[in-house]
Amino acid sequence: MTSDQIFAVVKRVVLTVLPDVSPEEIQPQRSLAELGANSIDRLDVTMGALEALHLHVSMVEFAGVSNLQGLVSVLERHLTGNSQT
Amino acid sequence: MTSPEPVVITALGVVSALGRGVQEFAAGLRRGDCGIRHFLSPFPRTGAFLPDFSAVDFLRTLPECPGEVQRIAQRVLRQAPESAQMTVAAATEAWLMAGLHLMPIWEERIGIIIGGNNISQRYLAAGWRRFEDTPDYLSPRHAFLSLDTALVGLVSEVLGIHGCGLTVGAASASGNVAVWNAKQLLRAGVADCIIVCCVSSELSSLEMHAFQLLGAAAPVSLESCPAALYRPFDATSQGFIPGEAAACIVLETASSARLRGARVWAAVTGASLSLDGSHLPHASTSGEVHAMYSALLESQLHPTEVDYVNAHGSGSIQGDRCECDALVEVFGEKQPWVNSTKSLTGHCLAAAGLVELVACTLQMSEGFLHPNRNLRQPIDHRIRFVGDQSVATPLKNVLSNSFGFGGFNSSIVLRQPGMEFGNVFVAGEKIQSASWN
Repeated sequence: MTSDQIFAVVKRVVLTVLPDVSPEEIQPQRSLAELGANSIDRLDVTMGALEALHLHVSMVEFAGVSNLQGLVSVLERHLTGNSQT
Repeated sequence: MTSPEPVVITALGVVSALGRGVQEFAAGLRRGDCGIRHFLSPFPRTGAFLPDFSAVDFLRTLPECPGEVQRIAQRVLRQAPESAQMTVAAATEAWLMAGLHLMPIWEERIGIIIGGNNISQRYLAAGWRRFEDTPDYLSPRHAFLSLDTALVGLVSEVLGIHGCGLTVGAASASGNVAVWNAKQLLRAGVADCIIVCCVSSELSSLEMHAFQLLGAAAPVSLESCPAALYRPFDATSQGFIPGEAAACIVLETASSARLRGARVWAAVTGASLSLDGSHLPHASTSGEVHAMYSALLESQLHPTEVDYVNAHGSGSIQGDRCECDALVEVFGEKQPWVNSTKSLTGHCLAAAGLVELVACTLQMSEGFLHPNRNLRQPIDHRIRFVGDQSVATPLKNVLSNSFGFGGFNSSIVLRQPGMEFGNVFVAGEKIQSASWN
């Protein structure tokens, strides 16, 4: 799965969690907080993306994430790891 | 000693299988419609349900519903239990009808009471199933959305309310008991206006099965005609058929209603609550008599002055028998009209009392009584049951009963507005009325 495909999954989850955000606002460099997400919304986006990608990753792994690109990178790293095993 | 401040109803809201919104609901009552159907999802069940109800869709149909209210509702109700969708819908309809969006009271003087307990049981059951399958994907929202009190917070956030707020639980008497409590808080000066809202307890297959084992819920075959299944006060009744609904009543001190020029639908002249001293689900004639007498005493009414009783009438064999005996003991030879809204709406459990107070208010306002469905062989010929057609009749004083598992007995008395208040605006027109004494 490419980085763009993972971003598309994340974008879809963000639109579900934040239904009043328009799709154009969701860009890789934006943070979820900028889109109006509170801390629980951010957890929901992370959980939703993990479920959509069938990944099991500890929340600690997402500690340093500051924008959507960072979230995509952590997901991509684990997807790649899965594909190698 | 001065008379306590009158408490009045200034708005209604309701979503039910009988009608989504007050207007549809009133029309359904008048026609004697039945909302009971067979459903196969999420498990085979029979009742007056509102599957996949969306508050956001409902709010779009309400004229004057501010865009900001719709936007907040859309965001906060995501993942919320079905009970929250219905609660926010009914509360918003009543809030708009009360004109609280146009003529706001100081927001700290508006309170919220949610009547009910153990409300979101289907949400909890679904959460458990999901957690057992995929624990890693649990939404952290479960920690607070599974609480009954989440409904208080959701309504307060959508409608921007900052006064007092709490839940009040009394099983199937919760609606009446919430009104009883709101009236006390208003008279104590805690708030000027309280939005009282109740939603039916969500039932999972587990609770339905337990109710049937207990003999409280009627056994159901999917081949049977659903509209003929629920038969309160009939000799062939086998128990209740569940219903889903949310109802809301805006209660206000008469002085606040007068100041705002709000429409007064009815006055709450009496409200009672007493216990049987038992945790069991059994009804008690003496407890019901005591509840009715207490509410009448507070209303300063003689039983002969009551025109109509909205019975608890759950269809329980023992419960219906007790209520008939209690009605005979209180009202004697001069029986008021009696009907049970449950044969139309299903038994809305925690919301039943409030759905029925909305029904009482609408019947009083429009001067009719809705039919009793499926009442062909009444268990007691001393009671003056409404037949299978609506009756047109003026109603001045009405009493509504609600009883709950665990020995809760509660009665509420409503009176046509305009008799006991000095100057009250009714439907925008100032009326001069007789004094209380």
